[in-house]
Amino acid sequence: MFRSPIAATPPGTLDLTGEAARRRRSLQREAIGALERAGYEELLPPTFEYEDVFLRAGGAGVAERLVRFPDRDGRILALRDDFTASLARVASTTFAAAAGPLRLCYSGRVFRQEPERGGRPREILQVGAELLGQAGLAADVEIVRLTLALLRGAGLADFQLNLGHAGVLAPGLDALEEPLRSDVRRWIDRKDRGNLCRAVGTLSGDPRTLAELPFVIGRRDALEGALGLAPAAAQAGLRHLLELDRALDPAERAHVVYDLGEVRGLDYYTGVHFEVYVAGAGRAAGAGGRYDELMARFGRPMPAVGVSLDLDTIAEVPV
Amino acid sequence: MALAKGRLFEPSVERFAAAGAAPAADAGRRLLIPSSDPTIEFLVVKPGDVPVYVESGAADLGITGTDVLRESGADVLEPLELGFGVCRLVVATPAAAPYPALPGGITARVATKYPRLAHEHFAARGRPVDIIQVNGSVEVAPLLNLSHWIVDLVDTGNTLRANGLVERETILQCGAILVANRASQKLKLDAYLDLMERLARPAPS
Repeated sequence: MFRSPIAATPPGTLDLTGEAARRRRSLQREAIGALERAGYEELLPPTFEYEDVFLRAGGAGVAERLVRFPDRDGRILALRDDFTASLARVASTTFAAAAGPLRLCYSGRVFRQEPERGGRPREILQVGAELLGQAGLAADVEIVRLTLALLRGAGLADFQLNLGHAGVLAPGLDALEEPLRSDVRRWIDRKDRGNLCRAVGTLSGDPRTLAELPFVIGRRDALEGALGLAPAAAQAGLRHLLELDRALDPAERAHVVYDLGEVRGLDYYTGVHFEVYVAGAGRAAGAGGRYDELMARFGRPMPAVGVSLDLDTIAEVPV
Repeated sequence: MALAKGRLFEPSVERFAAAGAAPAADAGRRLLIPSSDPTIEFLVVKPGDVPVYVESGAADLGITGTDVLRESGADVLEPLELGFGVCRLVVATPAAAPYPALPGGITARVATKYPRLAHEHFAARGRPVDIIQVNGSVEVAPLLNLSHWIVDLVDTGNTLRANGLVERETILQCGAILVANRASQKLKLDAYLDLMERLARPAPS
């Protein structure tokens, strides 16, 4: 029988002790406390579910990302790669009769397969919140504010939300044919201005706006400038971001950057979306946004907006 | 700023010097080299390590080749193709070898420094091959029957010809590329935009 050395844990997993463990525990406690005070009810879904639950929720690359194993009856189980799928399932079953918006929160580990090369965790400690059943600006603002409050509560000073809107680049991208659309999307994702301009600079109409619009990044004035660049169909998204900006107070606004160049979540988010960046961390420390199409996949169509933070990344940042 | 040792190093340094960030001349054997721009420090690593440093955020930016970058699969921004170090990744075989299939149903063995790119290339075309990873002198592999074919970088083609090999297919056009860490681009946006503008500007002649 093959025996692994007793000290070995699988790639992408960690033993955490001492300060690393204490910091995570206190971040978790602090965040869940703040979420409960804000009216969010904690949910503890199972660590593993039938893989169908996660596949149904979709999102980029979920099929390749799941850690799966067979159940005793041969059905395929998967460790949760995300809490949102489980929350959506609970919201459409256990809480199916609940009236009004649902405010749910969670904290725990998610599990993700990563390519076989060093450095990427396969187990991530998350905390997050979802506001289900409420469309519109107020719910978006609530989640953005909550996110900023959680980051402040974690003792961070130097952090920012990069906020975009799924409706801004969609008109230009939707007007393109495959495979050009995929190429253009990839160039936007890589901020490869040279290839992007060569491809769309000669086009007319909405796609042409893709040469400039994805590079709009900054405060309120950047958004106002983008109104002049964006196609008619993208104006509503930009105006929504401007309204959101108006709803924030100056201390909150100091941590918000409007960034129209993020295309990763476009298959998932339907409105406002954002990523969280923390000084000292080489990757995003969280993400969120509006995903109004998700709940319909679980048989209970309703608007939804949420956020999840990566506490492992946040815990490792020096404060 | 992570720079790759080897063929891309000198042109990378020239490009940065033209952009107002010349590395200190008296660096000696140090691997962290200050520059004439106090906001930029150079880190000199092997080409294959540039994507690792940049993806993790240990370096904010780097210059490497498209070949190395695609082989690494690193998730980084790729804002600028630099226009030097141009070459191509190709499939090459001995001049007399049958291609694209070997007789008698034999699965071709392919020696390469780029196992991931080679695998993707043949898999996408539904042609099963056996990939053998080597770390240098790839051209010798078919001569010694280590492999039937090779996948390697070609610039002028002289090394291939000298070893009796011919190019069969191009997998990828390659060249030097500036890469950036995704988080650092957001957190140090002003410095990033400033440097991008300086690097994109044509060098004063």
